[in-house]
Amino acid sequence: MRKLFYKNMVQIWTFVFVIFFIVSLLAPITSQTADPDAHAILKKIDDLWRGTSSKAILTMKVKTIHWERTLTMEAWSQGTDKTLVKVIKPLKERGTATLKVKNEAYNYLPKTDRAIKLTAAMMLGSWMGSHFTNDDLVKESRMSEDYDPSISFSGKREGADIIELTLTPKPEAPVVWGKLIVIVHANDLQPIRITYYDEDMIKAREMTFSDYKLASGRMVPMRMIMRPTDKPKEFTEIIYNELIFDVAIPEGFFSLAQLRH
Amino acid sequence: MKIWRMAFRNILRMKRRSLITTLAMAFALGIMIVYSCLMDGLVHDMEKNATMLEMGHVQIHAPGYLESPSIYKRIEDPESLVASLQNAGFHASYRLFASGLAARGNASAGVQFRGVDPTLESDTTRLPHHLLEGKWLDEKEPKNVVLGKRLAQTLSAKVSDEIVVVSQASDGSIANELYIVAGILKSVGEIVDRSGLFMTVSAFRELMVMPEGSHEIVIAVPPEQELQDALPAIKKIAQGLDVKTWEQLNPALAEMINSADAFLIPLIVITYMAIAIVILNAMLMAVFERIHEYGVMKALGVGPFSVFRLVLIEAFIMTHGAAILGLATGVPLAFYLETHGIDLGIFAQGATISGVAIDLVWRSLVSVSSILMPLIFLYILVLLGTMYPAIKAARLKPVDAIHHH
Repeated sequence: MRKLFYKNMVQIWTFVFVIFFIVSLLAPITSQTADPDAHAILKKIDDLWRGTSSKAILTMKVKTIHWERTLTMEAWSQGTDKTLVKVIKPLKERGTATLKVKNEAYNYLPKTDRAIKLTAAMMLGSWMGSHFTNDDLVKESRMSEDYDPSISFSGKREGADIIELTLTPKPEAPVVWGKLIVIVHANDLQPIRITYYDEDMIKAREMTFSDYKLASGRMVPMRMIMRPTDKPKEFTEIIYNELIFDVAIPEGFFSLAQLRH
Repeated sequence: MKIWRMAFRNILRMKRRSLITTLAMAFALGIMIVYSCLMDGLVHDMEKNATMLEMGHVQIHAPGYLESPSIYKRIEDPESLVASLQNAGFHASYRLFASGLAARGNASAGVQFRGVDPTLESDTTRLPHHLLEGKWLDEKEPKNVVLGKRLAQTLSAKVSDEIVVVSQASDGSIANELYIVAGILKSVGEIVDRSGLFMTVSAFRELMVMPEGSHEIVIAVPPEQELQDALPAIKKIAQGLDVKTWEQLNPALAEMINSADAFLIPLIVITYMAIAIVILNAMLMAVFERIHEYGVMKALGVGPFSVFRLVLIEAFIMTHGAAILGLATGVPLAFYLETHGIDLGIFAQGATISGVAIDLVWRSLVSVSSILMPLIFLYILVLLGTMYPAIKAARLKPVDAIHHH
């Protein structure tokens, strides 16, 4: 009788131990799904280039297997949903502009003096011949709105302290990607790399960040390179030559009329 | 000779019945002739539309272009290639393709720019004459474009409206231009209808910054030459390039046209069967009405074979008359339908088969065989249809026949 009790106790303790072990394995996963840190990091990346307003001069270099070209552009932004980008150089394309107000975007073509509204069908088209899509432009700085982040790795990798976030689209989010992997520096949370996976979870493209500098008292990466995975010889590089935050932008600046100036 | 006179007399004696029988046969023959010609015309038009409207008989592309089209996969020096093809007796035209965007007001649509040489295209395909409204391109007016039917609807564009196009030129720069709609095409095929934006070669070259080369050469083989005979010569001229016949380019359509004859046979059989019943009925009635008469003839000593011949000769005299009458009405009608056709436009707005538009005017095609076949068929039918009543008449027993009512 006693022997039996003893045997039962061993079984019970074994059972309790196994349960504990499983729970301890699950714990990090359950805590990840609602990770306040992950949200905070993502929000910070979203807000990197976003102030109350900003003005920038940037150079965009696009290289494809058939051609290579460099555009110099002027860009203004206000809040989260107003952006205006105008081409300054080359001369032939000077004045070509993209205006984004909320979820609507227009391309202005000086040669024809017409603004074309970007429709849903054009969203996956190339923006100004680059490896960025119109969708990238319209959806810029809203990763935290469209994705659920979770920390999938934290620690040393390739000699640097990093945090890796895995972003999965929210169920109803209007996104084209299957998932995003965002890697940031652990100390200052500056972005290092965003990898985009398509709906079949196959790597589609990769954006890398570098040249972190202070602009109007803020640390931002001044250089970004987008590389499509299926075209290894191609890339688009954006370099901020000038970046000022919190500039005064007149009322009515982000309008179709402004595109003509 | 006596029997012929008797046959004539018999026919003339019953004028109304003979006339009805002859007219029924003449009507049947006329219908069969027109019907065969219309069916031939349908098949012929399908093939002609498929090839002469836009596709041509043969197309040349740079290797790999058809599998994955790209503005960079070009045929070098298409002008001299077209010249060599013309020297070899073919009609040829070169085309340039690129995709982009067209917009008018708030409406926009993805389009395929199609740079064509207006004159060469007129010489090669019927496309320049296939306009719903407006006019075809003109080398002297480089700002003019011609739109596919559904594209024009999407943009709600009419002739002389302005449209903006945007694309990425072959040097990576932003291609944009303002054009004027000169014409709108009738239905040509899925792709052209939905996205075809035709412009002159020079306008295309300027827009897309593509000073040379082309993406497609379309060839029409002259009608007197068979496609298979012409192919080796074309392949020799276009060495190193991808040469494909229209059957290879649209196998589904080729299959359909090739099997169209098989399709039509059941239809023709049904029509002919209905006509056979009309003739058989007329012949049977003509004999059975006169059983009494034949009985008297036999009682007077006319042999069974003579009676048999009499019935057959009567039938053939009437058939000759019907043939003349049928030919005299059917053939001119078939010829009329060859030039004027039956306008189906009142029933349908436009139709496509395997992505290729079919003509809404149904024209017949008159050929010797489509006249001769129904004629021969009529005689065979009469022969078969008369045989039974004739045998029946020949084998009558005089006494029974005379008492028959």
